[in-house]
Amino acid sequence: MSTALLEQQSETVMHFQQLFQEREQKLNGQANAPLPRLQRLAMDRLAETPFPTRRNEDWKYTATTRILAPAYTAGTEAELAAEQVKAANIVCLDAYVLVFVNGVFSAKHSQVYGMPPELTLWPVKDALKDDRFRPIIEAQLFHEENQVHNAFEHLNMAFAEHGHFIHVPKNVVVDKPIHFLYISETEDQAIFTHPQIIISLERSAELTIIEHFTGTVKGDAPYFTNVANRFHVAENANLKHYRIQDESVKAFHVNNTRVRQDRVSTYSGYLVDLGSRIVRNNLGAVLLDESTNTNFYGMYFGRGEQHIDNQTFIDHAFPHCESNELYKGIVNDKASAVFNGKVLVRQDAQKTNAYQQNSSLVLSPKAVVDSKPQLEIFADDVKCSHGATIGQLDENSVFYLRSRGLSDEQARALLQHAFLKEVLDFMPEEKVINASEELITKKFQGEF
Amino acid sequence: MSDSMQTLEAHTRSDYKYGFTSDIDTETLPKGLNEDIVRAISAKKGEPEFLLEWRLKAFKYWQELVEPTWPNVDYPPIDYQDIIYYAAPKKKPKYESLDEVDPELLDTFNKLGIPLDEQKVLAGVAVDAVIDSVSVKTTFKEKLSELGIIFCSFSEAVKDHPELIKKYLGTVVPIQDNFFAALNSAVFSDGSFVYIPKGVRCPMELSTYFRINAANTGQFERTLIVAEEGSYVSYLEGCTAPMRDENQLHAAVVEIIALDDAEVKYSTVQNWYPGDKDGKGGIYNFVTKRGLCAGKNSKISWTQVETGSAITWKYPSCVLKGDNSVGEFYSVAVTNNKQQADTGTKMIHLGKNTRSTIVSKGISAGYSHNSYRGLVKIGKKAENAHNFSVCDSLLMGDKCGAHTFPYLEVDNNTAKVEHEATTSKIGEDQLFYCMQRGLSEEDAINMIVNGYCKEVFNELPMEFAVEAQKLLAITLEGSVG
Amino acid sequence: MLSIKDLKVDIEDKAILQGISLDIKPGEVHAIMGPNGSGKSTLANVLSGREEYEVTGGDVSFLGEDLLELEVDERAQAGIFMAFQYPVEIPGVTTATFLKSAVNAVREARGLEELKPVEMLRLIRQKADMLGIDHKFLQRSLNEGFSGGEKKRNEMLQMALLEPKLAILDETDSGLDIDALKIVSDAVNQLRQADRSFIVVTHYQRLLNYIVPDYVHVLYNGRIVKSGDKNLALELEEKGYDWIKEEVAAGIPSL
Repeated sequence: MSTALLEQQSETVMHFQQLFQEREQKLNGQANAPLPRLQRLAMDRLAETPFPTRRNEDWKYTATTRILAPAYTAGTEAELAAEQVKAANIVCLDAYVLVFVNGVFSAKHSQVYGMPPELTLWPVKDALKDDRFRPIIEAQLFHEENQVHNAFEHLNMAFAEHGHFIHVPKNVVVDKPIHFLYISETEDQAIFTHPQIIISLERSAELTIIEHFTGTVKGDAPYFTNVANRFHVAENANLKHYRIQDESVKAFHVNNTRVRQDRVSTYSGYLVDLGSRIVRNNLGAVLLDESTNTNFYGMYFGRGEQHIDNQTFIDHAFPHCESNELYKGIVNDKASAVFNGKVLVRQDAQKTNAYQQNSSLVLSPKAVVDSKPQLEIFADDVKCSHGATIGQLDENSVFYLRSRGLSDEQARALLQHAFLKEVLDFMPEEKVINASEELITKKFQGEF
Repeated sequence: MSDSMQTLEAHTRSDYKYGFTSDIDTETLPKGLNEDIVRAISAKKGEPEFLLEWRLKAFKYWQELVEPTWPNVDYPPIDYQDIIYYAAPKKKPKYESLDEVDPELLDTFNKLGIPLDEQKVLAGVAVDAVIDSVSVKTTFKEKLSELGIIFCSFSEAVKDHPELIKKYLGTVVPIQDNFFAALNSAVFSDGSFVYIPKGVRCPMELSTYFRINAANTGQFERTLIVAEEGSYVSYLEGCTAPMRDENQLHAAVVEIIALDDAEVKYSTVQNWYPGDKDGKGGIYNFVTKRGLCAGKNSKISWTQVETGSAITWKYPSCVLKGDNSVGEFYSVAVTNNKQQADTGTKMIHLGKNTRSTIVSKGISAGYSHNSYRGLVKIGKKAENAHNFSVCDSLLMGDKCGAHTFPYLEVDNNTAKVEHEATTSKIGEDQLFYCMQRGLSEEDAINMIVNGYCKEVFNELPMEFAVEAQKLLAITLEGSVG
Repeated sequence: MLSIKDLKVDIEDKAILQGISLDIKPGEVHAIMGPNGSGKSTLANVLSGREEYEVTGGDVSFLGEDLLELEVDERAQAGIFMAFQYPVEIPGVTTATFLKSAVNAVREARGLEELKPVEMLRLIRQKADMLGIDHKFLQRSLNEGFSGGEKKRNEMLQMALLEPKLAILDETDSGLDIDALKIVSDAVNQLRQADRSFIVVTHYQRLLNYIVPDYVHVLYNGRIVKSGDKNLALELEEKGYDWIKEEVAAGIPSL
């Protein structure tokens, strides 16, 4: 690492340490409660773990220096009008809703009435005080199976105050999605927020969650959303996970989501990236037993100077597991997109079925796509495929549509929409498809 | 004697009554290769001076070259001085009776129910049979000549149309192209020549049958196809070879030229002797096939089903020079026992709006190795070029290998290049599943393999497709379970 | 219908089934449960005719015939259907082609005439409609790119078309979400009839809320250690398998 980078990093970490100490002093003797103890530990680790730079192969295309440059402070709950929250919400979706304003849980705007009694949905700091849940949470937080945690994850743990823990006991099918709505707003002070969801699904349990990020930058100061999620899907359980990232295009977003799966479990991620100046998603699934099913369906659309980086990792270590990965994206203007998908099939993972595809549309000469699908196969009886396509809009199709009376702009928007639709169609929840389409349309129209 | 064998025998015999080679007794030059041999070959064929010069130039160049080692194949060194470079057919057919014919081969013919020449003739397919190195028969010539189509042996073309040969020979595969192309250029004995005049659509599939017959004779075919503006031709090449203990070298060159709006479809079923189960014997098949889409809107399409040969080294390619030209490559390559294949294609995009499609299906069984090697190159001036490649490998058993070497070189940012690859294994699981639904093992294998190859078989003329399907079933017999 | 007597099976010299006896009468549904590695899938595979398993003792008779003497395709033709835990994919072979070939192979073996293409298509569509399967699936390559639920539904379609006497469902419910589980169960329930029996191998009691079995057997260490009705499954779900293991260890005889 260069000296300049080193200096910047140590400054950043010192700034974080200072913030951390200030907060600790306000704890008034609560410093030994379970959460602050874990946070202390995370802060120590952060001090030892440098933030990744472009020298790291996995971060080659995304510089963290920009993300870390502003002098962030922790967000505080701002007053939001009910209409503002409503506007951010998904139309007509019947769900339990948890609203976070500038990272702070807002009971006032949330709606969790009528949850199944078997379900536990608690703040992490409370769940850690319960003997049933503490071991589960700690196991989730400290697992580093085949993947070392990065500095952003330590940062999240050190500062996450409003993380939530969900526990679904065996055979319980949660009737409605749980919708986590994160709204951020800044003017002249940059803030960072640390959303955190820890999920434990027991045998044959089923759950759908929606992570949803939105926000506004009114002045010059950006905000930075630094997410870390930990999901454990036990035997025969099924987790559906939507992520709609529609942050302000002046914001920064880093999302680390780690999934661990037991026998015949299913994880499906439906991942929509439309916002942020720079977004970096690390999504990884570690398959702990046979016959699991893992699905990553991602779509992204970058305009202006946006930079969208998706990094995925699926680790096949047992037989008969199946993984599907489809990422489709569009970049326009000077936007750039990165897809780096790694699928590892270890020697014992016979009869693995792994599929990976990344397709991109590059709409302007200055837009950039870097696609790096990687298959590493060490087993012989497997079916694996990967593909990558990079292309432009088909001018013949544009012409055809125009000959039927559509304007050039309409024709292009329609074709881009159709391109992304393939991914959206995998979503089981129609309301989320509709909401995503509406956001995409807005983006076409330049409201970004 | 089986029907098909009878037909084959009958056919090869019947050739002689029309034989235009007056001296039909064995005419074999001594082993080895030097300038004298090259001169002797040219003299025996009564070639014009320009061709002799061309051969000698190629020979000189070949002497400076080293045999390539980059293909993913392994074979003992070839002694190029231990090969006979010229042999005309003997008067007597090779086999006096059925007892001399290898029973395994006969069995294969039986199972194939080969639609041999007779059937082809009935079906309206013209046949130009090549036995060893000299073309001995050409049918339907008259009918074709009415349309101005030239379809004849290469030697005849040299005699009757030297200006065409001089104009096009070596323009797609120059003598300097590679080791085997240079060798072929120096010593090629015969082959086929096709010329389709401007605006003519050839009314029938043109077909040649090759057969390697005399022991220790290298076979050096030279094929040249010229499609003038707005013409169309579909050319079929099919091969069978009898059993031999010693390896036989085959280094052919095929050149295709398609001018403005012309289309050439070239289909091959290659079923040469692959060697026995232990890898003894078999043909070395080192072939250079290339088509030049010289004119705008021209199209060249290669379809191949490769089941034979001990070693295959073959990359039918397209140079897409004309704007809007199209190149296609559809391939099924099957290897079993100890066969080795390194095959694929090159698509060189030079013109604007050029398109290419590659569909490659490899099947490896036994102890064989099957490699796909493909290059897609988009040149600087090739605006809006588009390539789509699918490259699938199917493994049968766990002693074989499948390898994929795709090369993408894109020098123009308006290009659209798509590549897909899969590797999978046909295993007991698939078979068991089909059989649990009541299908017999044979039907199950056929269904799975033909399903896998469907995209390629769809490109073959109907009768070829049937032959190809049967061929596959035979090649893979007993390789699962 | 099916009578298994003291069946013993090895894989690579390791005893997996150590004396299984089971009698299944026409129209009955038997559920087989048990912890991982107890031999459930082995039993299903041996009945359908997989070769890696070595039968070292016992008899299996199916409709009066010695089942173990038959090849896998002969068993299928005789009326044994296995719904696979991992249905295989066959690229390039459309589901429709596969179904036609299978139905005709089975019909031929049963002495029936091949169906004409039009009749075949009508039959396939009718069964697909019955199971709520979109016709466009018929034109896709067999199981290729199908989701887990779609594959299992395709298994049900094949079962409906091949009209087996005995259907074996090998962990058909594993990995299915609740909606897919209901669809598969509905299919089985629609196909239940007086002369058709089912063996349902499963890990999870919740399937048996939808397919109500006549008998539940617990397999442990290669033996049936306990049999009962659907309440046994509920008890297992409640208490897990440890109590059964303890009973076996203590030598308490099974029911």
